[in-house]
Amino acid sequence: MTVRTAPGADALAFLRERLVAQNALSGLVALALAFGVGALLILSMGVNPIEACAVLFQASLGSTNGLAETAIRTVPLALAGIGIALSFRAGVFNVGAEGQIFIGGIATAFVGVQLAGAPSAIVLPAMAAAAMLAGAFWSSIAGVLKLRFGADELITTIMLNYVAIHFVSYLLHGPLQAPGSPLAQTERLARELRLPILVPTTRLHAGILLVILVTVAAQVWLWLSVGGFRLRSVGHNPRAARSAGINVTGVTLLAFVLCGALSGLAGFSEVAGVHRRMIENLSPGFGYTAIIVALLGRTSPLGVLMAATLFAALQIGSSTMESALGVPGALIAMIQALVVLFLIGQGALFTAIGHLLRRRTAPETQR
Amino acid sequence: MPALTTRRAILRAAMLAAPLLLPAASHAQADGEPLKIAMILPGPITDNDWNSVGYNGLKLAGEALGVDVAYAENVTDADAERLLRDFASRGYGLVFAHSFSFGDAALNAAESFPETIFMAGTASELSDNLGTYSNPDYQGAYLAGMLAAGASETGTIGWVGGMPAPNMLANLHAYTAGAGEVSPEVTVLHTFIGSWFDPPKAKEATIAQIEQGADVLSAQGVGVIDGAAEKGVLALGAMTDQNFLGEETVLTSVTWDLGPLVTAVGQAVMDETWTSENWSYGVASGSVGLAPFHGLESRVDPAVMEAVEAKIAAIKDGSFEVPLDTSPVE
Repeated sequence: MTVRTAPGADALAFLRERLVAQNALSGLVALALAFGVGALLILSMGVNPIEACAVLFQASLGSTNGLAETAIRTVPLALAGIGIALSFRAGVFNVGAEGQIFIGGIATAFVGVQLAGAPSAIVLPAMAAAAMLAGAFWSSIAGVLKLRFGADELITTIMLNYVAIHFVSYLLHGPLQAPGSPLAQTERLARELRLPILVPTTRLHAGILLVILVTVAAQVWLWLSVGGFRLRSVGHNPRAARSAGINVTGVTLLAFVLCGALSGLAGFSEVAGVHRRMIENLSPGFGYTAIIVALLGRTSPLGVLMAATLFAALQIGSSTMESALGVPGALIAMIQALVVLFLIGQGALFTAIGHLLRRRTAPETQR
Repeated sequence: MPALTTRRAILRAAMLAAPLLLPAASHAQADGEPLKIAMILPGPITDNDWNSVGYNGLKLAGEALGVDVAYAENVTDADAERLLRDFASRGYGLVFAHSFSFGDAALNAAESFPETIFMAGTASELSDNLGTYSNPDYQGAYLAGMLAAGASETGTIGWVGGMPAPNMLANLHAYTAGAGEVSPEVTVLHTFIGSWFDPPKAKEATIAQIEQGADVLSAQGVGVIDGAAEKGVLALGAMTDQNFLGEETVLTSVTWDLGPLVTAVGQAVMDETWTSENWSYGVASGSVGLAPFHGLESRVDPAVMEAVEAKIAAIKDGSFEVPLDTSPVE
């Protein structure tokens, strides 16, 4: 690739290797281990883990409203997750989806308020386009910093998250605040500028169709197109890719743009589909959960969609589990984090178990 | 929620898609089923402030009416509508949205669950099944203003609050008016820190006001009492008796007991006499009042203490009405 920062780079490279290059089974194993630990924790609170699990999934999948809420939560997780997955595939460790969601959200609301009154067939796509462009721009800042100055995107994207969130907060308290509102929020979008509701009496909006479209397109592009092949080649071995005549700089920048655009689209669907205006705290950490989702989905769009659905169901069910059984909802956040730990650490775990077994069977052989 | 057997859960999982085909109405309590009350709160129920008031009110109502209650704390604006819908779809017949910023969410949820009664804190827009309840602590703020003016030696008093929402503006105006009644030339400083919960910022604003001469401050947010204690001036707590936060600092607190209101609303829902309106329980009904002084009475001019007692009596017998003014400031 281009420039590689010197100190600590090996450790980061190792982490990336462990996180991205996983076989099909590792995700399921990590999930099983994380759930196992979660079950033990629930048991330690004196609650039956099977009952907790039943309550959780009953809440998120057992009713129209629960299913709709799970699907709604899937939308931002899957969109940002696919963006992150594509950039991981190119060897770009973009963890800036959270900020890109906020930038996409404010762009959506800005365009929606400015163009209010124009035909929605024009304005709605314009809102989506603005969100994707704004997200892509925000992500490209880190891309340029990496390609031009060798700044590690792991650092710059996470820093840019804070810049984005505070910048949006400034806009909501200042120039873009709804007139007369004491709350930091933009004006409410006109009714025709909202994504249509798919199931009456629920909040399920057309964003879920967008997710299906994006998943299929990304899956086909990544595996069946020349562009997708180039992206994967650069991720596997940038030097070999360059020797083969691939424009590594261009592909790397594309990875930033794709992640930013899809995260921006996630912001669009939250604003146009759920909240009908831009608010502070638009995302309760969707951009961070999406990283786990991308890893658990083995950075394949279809896998990411499945992982996003699972995590959405967990998050939706967790609050019911909390109020019905007294199991803290934070437990779900712990399970999510454990998934990552077990994804990274299961190699070490199995090596250690292997050592123990070997020592037990043949204690005198030299190690 | 009744305990679920695994068998039922599996059965449910097998029919995953089936509920999508069923008509989604009639989520709310069926006739004859006992009422259940829920509340969503923007912060932790242990804050000894806004959220403690909400939770305590819910708990008291549950005991008084003998009904099941449930709550969700630390709810963000982005999650509010989802949780309101969650409670409504689980058969809670009365759901409180205990934050000024949950108004939108409550309006949307009420539209989808017409059989469920929603109550949103100081909402500006109501519907057939969405009522509102206000926090008339401005009535207490008037008393606090009198006390602040009566205890101040510098002639400058302070007020630090969250965001310029209508109830906060009412509080500030009443505080100013109360102070003005005791001492017409008193100066009242005020700061909105721009957040409902940001203790360091509240403390900073407090210290800034003290440096401008304020020696008694009304604490409309966590952090103010801390700043006042550090600088050795007096503060007036809010919501619950906050004397434990500074035994030498907190003169008294303007307390708010939500129990009678939640109980009355729950009773009205059970009797089917509930109507969408603004429910307000203030000083007259004993819901808003002053906490014990914990031995700090001596810091206030005795004549002012007497005037405050007389004022409370006047509010209760209806001969005095605290002016309600929510006009913007600055």
